[in-house]
Amino acid sequence: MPTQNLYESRKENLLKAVNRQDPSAIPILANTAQGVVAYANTTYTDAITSLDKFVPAMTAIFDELYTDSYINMNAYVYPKTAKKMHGMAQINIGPDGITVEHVARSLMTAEDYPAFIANPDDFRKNILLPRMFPFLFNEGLEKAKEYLEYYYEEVLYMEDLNAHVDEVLKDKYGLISIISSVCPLGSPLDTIFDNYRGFLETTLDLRRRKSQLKDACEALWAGMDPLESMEEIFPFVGQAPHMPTYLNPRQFEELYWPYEKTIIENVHRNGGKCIIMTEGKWMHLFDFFRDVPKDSCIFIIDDDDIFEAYDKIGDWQCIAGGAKLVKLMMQSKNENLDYAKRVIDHCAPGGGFIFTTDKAWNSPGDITKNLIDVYNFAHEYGSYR
Amino acid sequence: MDELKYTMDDIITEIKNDKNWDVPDEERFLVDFIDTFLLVL
Repeated sequence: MPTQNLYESRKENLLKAVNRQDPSAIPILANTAQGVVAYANTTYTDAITSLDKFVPAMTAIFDELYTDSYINMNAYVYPKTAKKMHGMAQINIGPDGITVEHVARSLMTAEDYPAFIANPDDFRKNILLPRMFPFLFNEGLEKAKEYLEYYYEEVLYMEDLNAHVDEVLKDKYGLISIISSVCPLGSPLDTIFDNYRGFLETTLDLRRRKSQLKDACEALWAGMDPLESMEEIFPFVGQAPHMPTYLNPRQFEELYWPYEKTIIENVHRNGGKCIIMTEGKWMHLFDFFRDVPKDSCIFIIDDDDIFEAYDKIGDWQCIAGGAKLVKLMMQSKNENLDYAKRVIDHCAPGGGFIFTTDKAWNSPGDITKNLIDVYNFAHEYGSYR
Repeated sequence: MDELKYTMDDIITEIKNDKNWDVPDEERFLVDFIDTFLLVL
């Protein structure tokens, strides 16, 4: 089949599957990240040095591994800028040249809450950035421009790398990018957790400064685009929430769900869907998602038991899974094929199911022969006809 | 904190006025800048 026709037929089948409209096959999703460069026997840090290296490094795996779609998480770490900005990086590439390492820091103090609540934008611009990068604000405007120009050029360069990877994956392999790069959207509490207070401090704030944390969420939300209108409804709106797994149902209901529910309802009203990476365990939270429209969400199941997750919410929202990276690394091919078969048999009948891995392929160890074998098996076994 | 000689708005204004540096969408640049420096860096 010509690649363009393959792309269109895969997209049609994917949309049928997530709307339970008699798909012909289970859609397969590659949970891709920079780890795929290991298949091409190179490193991320080497591959990003040129377009000629980067595109084959990020796409070679699809010569052997079957998939219909992928998650665009290609070049998003800016090593040159990080080095230039006086070693302040929170996210780095590790010694293997591929794996992303996150150094958790709390950028905002508890005493900053009043300024943050008064105006998050002003707080970022006038308090947080000068605190983090004082050299930007006292070495002269020309020097500040030089720093920013350096950063800006690197961002454009990385965007260009990503665009070329997307182009090859669509034109050569007929693959669908399943998550829109223009509208990944998180809850305000995730933003505070990820960008400002960090893990330890946010979890303490939940108990010691709940009122301020709630006001901070409201202040952030006031400046966010809750997607009341959308220019495009596909690819799906992607979410990688980090906070819910640490929230009990009461905290989730009070500090997270009001925003999440609004986002999901707005996206659904526009005709789109949210694809949510349920990082950690969400079994205690899935019931909330019965209060939003049927099939408005696609959950990529992470550490939860996918059979239990399906039994809990699979009749109302779509489920994605079927392979676990740790099992692929630690267990035999047959054990992994058996697991994939059992997941497909349990979760896929009637549609509303996507085959994928529980976690993104971040490290060279994630790229195994078992991964390729299980994906190719899911394609062969996943026909509804 | 070190003494601040100007603000982020001053820096952005300087960029906007610099004809040698074409920033197609200053608002997006600012958002990307802040997000990236907080998130990625």
